[in-house]
Parts: sequence; structure tokens; C-alpha cells
Amino acid sequence: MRDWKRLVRDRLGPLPVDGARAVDIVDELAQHVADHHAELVAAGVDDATALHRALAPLAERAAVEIARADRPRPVSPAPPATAGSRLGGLARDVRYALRLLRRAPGFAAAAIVTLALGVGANAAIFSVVHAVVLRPPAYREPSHVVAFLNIHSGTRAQIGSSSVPDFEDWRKQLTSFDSMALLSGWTFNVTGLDLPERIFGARVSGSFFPLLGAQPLFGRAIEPADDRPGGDEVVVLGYRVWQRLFAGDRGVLGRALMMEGRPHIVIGVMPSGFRFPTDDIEMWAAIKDNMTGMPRNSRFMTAVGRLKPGVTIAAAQAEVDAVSAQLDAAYPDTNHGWRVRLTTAHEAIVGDTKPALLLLAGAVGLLLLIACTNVSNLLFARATSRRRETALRLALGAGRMRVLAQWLIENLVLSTIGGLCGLALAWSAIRLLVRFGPSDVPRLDETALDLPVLGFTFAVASIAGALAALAPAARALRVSSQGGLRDAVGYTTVAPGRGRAGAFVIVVEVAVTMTLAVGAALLLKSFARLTSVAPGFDPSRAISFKVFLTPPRYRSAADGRQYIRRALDQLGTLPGVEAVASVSQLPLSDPGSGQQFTIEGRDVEPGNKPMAGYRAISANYFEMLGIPIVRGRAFTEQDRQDTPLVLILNEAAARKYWPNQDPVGQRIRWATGVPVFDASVYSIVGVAKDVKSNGLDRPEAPSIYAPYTQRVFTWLRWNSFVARTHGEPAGYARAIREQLTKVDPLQPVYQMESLDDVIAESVAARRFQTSLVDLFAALGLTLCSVGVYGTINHWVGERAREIGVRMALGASRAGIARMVVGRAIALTAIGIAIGLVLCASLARALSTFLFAVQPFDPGTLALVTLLVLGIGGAAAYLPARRAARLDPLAVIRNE
Amino acid sequence: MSDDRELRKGSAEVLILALLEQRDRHGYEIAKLIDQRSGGALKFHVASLYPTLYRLERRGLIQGRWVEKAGARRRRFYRITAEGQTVLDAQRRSWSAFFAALNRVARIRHA
Repeated sequence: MRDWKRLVRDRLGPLPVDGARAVDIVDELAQHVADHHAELVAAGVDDATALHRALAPLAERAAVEIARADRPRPVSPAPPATAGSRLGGLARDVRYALRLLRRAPGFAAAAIVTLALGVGANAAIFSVVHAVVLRPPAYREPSHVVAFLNIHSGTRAQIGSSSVPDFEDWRKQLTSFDSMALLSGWTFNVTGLDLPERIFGARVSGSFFPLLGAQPLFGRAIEPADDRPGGDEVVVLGYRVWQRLFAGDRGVLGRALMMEGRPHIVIGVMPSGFRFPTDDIEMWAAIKDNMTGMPRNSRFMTAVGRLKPGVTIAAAQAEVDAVSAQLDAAYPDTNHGWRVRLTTAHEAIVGDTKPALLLLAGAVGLLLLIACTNVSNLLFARATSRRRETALRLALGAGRMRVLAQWLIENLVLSTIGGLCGLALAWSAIRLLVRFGPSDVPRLDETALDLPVLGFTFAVASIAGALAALAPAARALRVSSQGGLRDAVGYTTVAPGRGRAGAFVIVVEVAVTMTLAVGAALLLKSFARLTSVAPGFDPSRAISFKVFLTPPRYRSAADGRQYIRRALDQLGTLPGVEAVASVSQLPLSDPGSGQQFTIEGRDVEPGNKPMAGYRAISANYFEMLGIPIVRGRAFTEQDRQDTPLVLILNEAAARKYWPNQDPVGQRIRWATGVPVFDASVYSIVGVAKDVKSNGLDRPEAPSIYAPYTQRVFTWLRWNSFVARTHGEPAGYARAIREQLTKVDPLQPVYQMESLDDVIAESVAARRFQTSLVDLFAALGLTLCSVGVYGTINHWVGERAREIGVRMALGASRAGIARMVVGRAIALTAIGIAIGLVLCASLARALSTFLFAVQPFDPGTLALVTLLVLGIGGAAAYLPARRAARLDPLAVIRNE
Repeated sequence: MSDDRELRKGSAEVLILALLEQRDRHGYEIAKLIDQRSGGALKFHVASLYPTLYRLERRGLIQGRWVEKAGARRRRFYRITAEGQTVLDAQRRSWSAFFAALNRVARIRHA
């Protein structure tokens, strides 16, 4: 049995008459429609056609016509609104809105998809910002935990780490802190498991966990007593390593892990949210080594402190400045020019990622603006087509507030649906971001659609909906009932003011799109320039891998040298391997280490000693990686431990410390502060061409190479190997591991990857940024072209009669098309001009993300201008064709 | 255009009143009879008929009432009021005069 009443109600929409009468009318019409349908079916018409024919006359105006005929039957005065009736009214309005949207599926789909894109992109990026920056870290009162960053006033170098003697002085003298702690990132080779494992962790002082106030998941954390000599060495596991290596077994407590040849007792496991200082830290062991007597210029430990309650960072900073000045005066040789900057530990960890996230947030913000303009545009078009309805409702006595409320509810329904779709979009986007995002963004993997993100999404969707609805609603209300009614019976068709509003929409949309597109194009060009920078070495068919040589097997420098020699020999026998070289820190992968030195026969002011990166390499390193020697000679197999000590500079070091001189033949000494290292004299035998070791976008810093056979620093524990292979390097991974097992079965090998991948990874963060911004810009351009198309198309529709008259008066079809396209291009051009002004105001902010491209790069600006102008013109093509094909007689007769 | 509208509106009212003069009828029956008797030349659909009916009712020329029958849905039957009858008679006279005039001038015959 068909529910005829419902069918009629749905077709008719709300009847502006009082409730009981509306029921009667619907009842009567339903009976009529049912009779009509039955008769058609009896006459042999199929059901669907019959249904359509019976219902077809109930068009949008029917309800109003009927109600108008029915009035002025005395309408009972509206009862005072009660909460219940108001809710009922709301439910009715929502149902009505849904019905309207169902009846305009094209409009609804366009608006919902547009909103979903804008809201979804914003929700996804906000969830990252929230996870990485906004969400408080998993320890007590994070705003009171500060990190000590050391800055050298001369070189502007800023390093996170401090020296142990400085730390001891701070701890004794500073009164602003409740407690202070030291920690140092460390790579642990853990043995005694199935396979030797390399785990990133930290050595921490006993005060570290109490300072943070971080509680373990179970067991206990490291306590002050744990870093004193005597007793067991202890280690606390991070959640992930506990899951990965021990399958979440609580029986791990009390188990001894062999680390650096000494048993470390597992005393606790931290909850999954606890990661300090960085994401990759998975275990914390107590510092047991006696560190008194460490040199004051050996800054390799991170210092943190907890401020006393009520002490501000600024107050603590003033106190620290005073102590730094004292140390500068007392130890000019090591502390001259060194200052400390205090910042919250959280800021120190996530601060670097902020600008990039801000850039992304800005880009999605612009995208949302474009989406809002588009939806606003759709609503405008819809408001115009519904002017008659609005006017009639006003004429029939509906209050303006009532009409406005209905409007707002309709938009709220729209933005709620758009928001929900956006949320679904964000959910999938977040999975992609976490999966493919750069690995160096802290806490990125904790990104989730949690409560704050839901709240944010809801707020954005509502604001977007309201923003988009504001102008059309205001405009809809300005419709006088008179004007609208005249319109309803066909006297006028041109909606005054609509042309201006449409123009405004195009200009705003183009301006915002232009800004986004210019930013994206600059980033793209910058990225292209970056990836075309030659790294200074030949990465083809090369695979690299690393070892970390720790006690007890590699206690002395000689132990390390022996491992490297045996590994080089062993790998050299591997079929298909052309050559193998060794380097202590792989370019573009390992951080360089600065080493101070003195030049023979040259005086230096204290605290301003020359400094250069240090790399210990095998004799064939330069030849194998294709790094030319520009002066002097390369190392040879004859440079051994028992032959004269030799060094090779890179060009940057030669330029900086021997400007306009030949450094070959000059002699230097290290100035590490450790007498045994500083006693020897080294001769410079050559200068090698610069390599991009610290990033393709960074100028090469001064660097000094030494033959690995003469490598002496005991702290230099990491080492990389590079093998050049016949064919695809990835195919050699297994064979290489097997060979290295023969050298030392307990030594883990890690980070095995091709040099091409090493280079790609070094620009991963920029690639990620650039591709996201470009994606947003592409979406923005698409939305913009749809917006321009919609507005111009609507404009043509409204001007149909005018166009008809022009044609009747002799305007050519080409002329009409030119007029339409001309309007689109003129408005687009205004938008572009405003967009360029916006770009100029954002240039400074953007320039920090650019490499070798100026924010006012004329080529890029011209290209984007042409692109946007072309899109504006192309979007007007269909409406122009429509206008040119209008039949003037038909148009005028239709009126 | 609007004159034509008025004319059609006026003629529709006469047609409905004339049909109700014979006996009470419901809306669908009225629409069908107009269709049949005009040989399909005049058509009323649901959205044009009921506004006319309601307007007539509002002016007190016809009166609707609900009739419920067991086993069927209630229907609204309309009957002509005394005032409606007066208007119909007056209309008849003026239409006759109108057609006579047309006939005389334009040789349009009306049955």
C-alpha cells in the first residue's frame, strides 16, 4: 500500500497554513493523486510513469498557490513557543532541509564535496599539529621543564648539548631549579637475545625520571641511587621495544640484557606515550661512568632542569646568563663566547617542526577559504532561484527571523553532512600522513582523530557553513515580498545586485587561489632546484650500511680500526662488489662532529679556535665516490698508523682557514682538551672538492679527513661502509650481512640503503611539504575553476533576456561569447592582482621555505598568472557557448 | 497575459459551479468530468484545481465536507451554496450574452 500522503507531503514541502488544515489539504490531494494514478494504471500506463504523471503537477509553487487560495481562513494565533514546540520546529526544519537537499542532488553533492574537501584537509593537518605540537607531552608540568641550549656568540652555532663540567657548575650555583638532570643519546648494541640488536636509547642521570615525574607502566623508573658507582647497572624499556623484543611479556622485569659487554637489569617499562627526548629513543640506562675530568669543551650531554614553582623562564635565564659570564671569565679557552638559552624542553623538541606545520596549516586554511567561497556561490545561486519561495513565504506572513532560521538550519544541515564527509576524508588522510610522512617529525605516529580533532572539525565545519551562508542569507532577506512576487508572476528576471555579488565571489576566490598557487609553484620550483643540486659524490649502484663499535669488543680506537680493516677485506672478496670504502660519518646521513684545532705558527684568540668536521675514511674513499682531489694527493694504503700523520681538507676548510694560501704542507694539532689527542702534529697533504654532507640546501662546512688507519678518537664509535656493486645494489644486502657476520657475529649492522635513497631521504621533509602544498593548490585550482564556471553560468542565465535583446539588435554570436569570456577574464585578472598583493605580504614568511628561488621569482609569477587566467577563461567557455547559442526569439518570447 | 489568466480563472469557476449544481462531487470527479465533457480541451490537474476549489469555498460559493465510508478513505465532497447558485445563474447569463455577442461579431457558434 503506497503512502500517498507522504508522497504528497514530500512533493509539496511545507504548507504555510495551520497544522490541522494542512493535514486536511494533504489528505484531499493524496486522494486525488491516488485516484489519478489508479486510473492511469487501469488505462495501461506503467506504474512509474503513472506515478510521475500524477505527482508532476505538484511543483514547488503548488504549496504556495494552494495556501494563497486557502487564505484568509482564520489562522489560529501561534501558541507561545515552548521548549517542546521549538524542538519540534527544529526537527521539522531539519526534515524540510533534508527534503530540499534531496530534491536538488546536484547542488547538494557539489556543496557537500566542496565542504568535505576543505574541512577534511583542515582536520587532517590540525590532527598533525595537535599530535606534534599542541598536545602536552607525557610528563608532569611540561611548562616547568627547560632545556639548556648552548649558543656560541661568534659563530651563532647553537647546539643542544652541554659539557659535564659546565653542568656541574650550573647545578651548584643556580637557585632557580628544583632539580637538574643530564642525558645523552646513545646507540646500544644489545646482545644475549636471538640476534644482536641495535637500539637507540639514552644514558640518563639518576635525577632524570624524578625530574620529569614520569611514571612507568610497571616496575620502577631510574632513581638517583642508580647512577652511583657500585651495584647493578639498570635499564628502563620503552613501550615499543618491550612489545617488539619481548612481545609485551611482564616477566622481562629482572632480566639482564648484555649492553656494551655489561649486564643491565631491566627494572621497568614506560607507557607508550612516553618518549624523551625524541621519538626514536626506546630505552634509558643509568649513567654509571665516572665523568669527572671530562673536558669542558666536550659538549655532548643534554642538560634539563625543572624550574621551582613560581620561577619564570625569564628569571631563570637572567640567573643562567650571570653564571655563563662567570664561566666565560674563568675558562676563556673553552667558554669564551658561549651562552645558554633556556627554552621549554617540549619547545626544544618540537620547535623545528613548527614552521613547516604552520606552512601546511596556512595552505589548508586558504583551501578552506576557497571552498567556502564556492559553497557561498552555490548558495547564492540557490537563493536566487528560490527568491520566489522566500518572497511568498514573507508575503504569507512568515517572520523574517523565521525565514532566516530556516535558511541557517538548511546550511547547518549542509555543513554537518559536509563535515562528516570531511571527517571520513581526514581519517584516511591521517593514515596516509602517518604512513608516508617524514620520519623526523616527532610524535607524528600518534596522530589520531581524537576528541580535540573532532571538536576542531565540528567548529571548522560550522564556521565554514555559516561563512558561506552569511552573504546569501543577508541577500535573501533583502528580497522584498513585493519584488519577489512580481518576479514570481514573471515580470522581472534580472536580480539586481546579484551580478555584483557574483563578481565579488570570483575576485575573492581567484585572489586566494592565486596566493595558494604561487606558494605551491615556488615550493615546487625550489624543490626541483634542490634535487638538481649535485651532491658532490656519485651515488650510482652504491649501497651503504652502518655499524656502531662499542665496548667491550671495541674499547680502544685500535679495536675499531681492526674491525674496519677486516670488514673491508671481507667485503672486497664478495663477487659483484667492485669496491668498498669506509667513512666514519656518511654524508647526508650522519651528523658531522665539530673538532677544534690549532694551526702551527699561528696565534688564535682564546675561545675562537678554528673548527672543522672530522671524518675518518679508507684510502679509496675519494676515488670510489668520485670526489676529486683539487690539490696535493689522496690517501694511500701507505698511510698507516706507523707512518707520518696526514690529513686532507675540504675546499671549505681551505678557503676559511688558509684564504689565498696553499694549505698543503701546513701542520695542525687537535685541541680537544684531552692531552693524549692534542700532542700529535698532523700534516695537510691534500684538498678534496666539497661534498654536500649536511644537506643539499646547505653550504658545505669546513671539514677535515683522516685515514681510518690513523683514527684515534675513542668517542668516534660509528662507522659507515659504502659498496659499489654490479647492478641493483639492493640485491647485495643479504650477502653483505653474511660477510659481516664472519667479521663479528655479535655486531649488528643497520641502516642498509642505497646512496640514492640516502639522498632522497635527506630531502624527504621538503618533498612531503611540497607535495602536500601542491596537492592543496591543485584542489584549490579545481574548486576555483568550478566556482568561476558556476558564477559565470549563473550570470548568463540571468542575463538571457538581455543577451537575447542584444542579439536581436544585431550583436554577433562571437561578440556575445567574447562578452562572457571577457567578463570572466576581467574578474579573474582583478583577483590575480589582489592575489599578487597577498603573495607579496606573505613573501617573507614563505622565503624561509625556499631554496635558490626568490619569493618574487618573475618566471613563476608569470606562469601562475597565465595558468590562473587560463583557468578563468576556460571556465567561462561553456557558459559563453551557451550564451552564444541562445535563440533570441525564444528567450524573449519566454518572458 | 493576466487578462487571459482572469478569463480562465473565471471560466473554471463557472465550470465547477455548474458541475456541482447537479449533485455533490469530490475533487477528482470534478477534474475528470471537466476533462471528459470538454473532450480533453480543458484540463485541471491537482495543483490548479484545488486552489480554485478553495478560493470558491473561501468566497462562500461552495462548501466542502468530509464523508467517511467504511473500508475506504474519507473523501471531501463539495456542494454548491445558495450564494453559489446565485453567482452561477448570473455568470450563465453574462456568458450567454458574451457568446451571443461573439457570435454576432465573429460568427463563433456556441453549442
